[in-house]
Amino acid sequence: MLMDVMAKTRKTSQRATGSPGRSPGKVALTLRLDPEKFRKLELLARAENRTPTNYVETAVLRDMAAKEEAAGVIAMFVPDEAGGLRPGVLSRSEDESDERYAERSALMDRLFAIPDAE
Amino acid sequence: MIAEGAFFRVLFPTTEKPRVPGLSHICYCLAVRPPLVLVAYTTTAAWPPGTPLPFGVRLFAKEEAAALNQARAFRLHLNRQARIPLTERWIPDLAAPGQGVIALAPARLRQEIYETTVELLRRHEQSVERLGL
Repeated sequence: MLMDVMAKTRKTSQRATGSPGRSPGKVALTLRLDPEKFRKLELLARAENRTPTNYVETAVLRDMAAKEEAAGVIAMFVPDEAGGLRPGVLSRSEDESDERYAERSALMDRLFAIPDAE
Repeated sequence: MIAEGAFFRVLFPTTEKPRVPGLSHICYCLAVRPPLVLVAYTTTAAWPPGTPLPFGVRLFAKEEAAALNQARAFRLHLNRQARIPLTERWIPDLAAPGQGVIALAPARLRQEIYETTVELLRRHEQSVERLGL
């Protein structure tokens, strides 16, 4: 349904929101819908106790997350207190071969370099 | 002890920022690099029927879960990882005997998960480059 609504969007415009009362750091997007589609959107949003704006935002975020998951993207969660810590030497189990440990160390270097998901 | 292949309880970081300790989940340890540990998320929540599993998500049926000392079937999300400090704030059983490790994956399973992680990372890096995700 989201794609349908978005496909029917006639015109969008962007502007940075800097005025008080708006979400700072977010970009506003004007969405134009047919009245019938908007009524449906209102009903869907009301059913989830959301505003139409919040419903659209949530739907877009869900769609992005689904695409990222389908594309095989790793979502990395890094709290602030971990972001400032430097990872030490990789711990090794007794039964791990030298070759596997070397490969795993290289893999972990790349994984530990993935930044926190947006 | 917490090491590669260990399943243990983690207060997995919240989706919202700033990330704070969230709900308790049994997580799979991918690597320990003190003072940090890299874990992958698991959940017992049902997967929507008819929805294909994304690459990097592995189901553990009830019998397989039981062999890992877990009462219910669960799924492991290698595509959802957290890099957290090795502290009780994130790992509540850290001071408990055995650091609260519930089970240790056998070598064969560890290797399977490792190989999946290698492929997942390859796809991740490709997607980042191609799609800018």
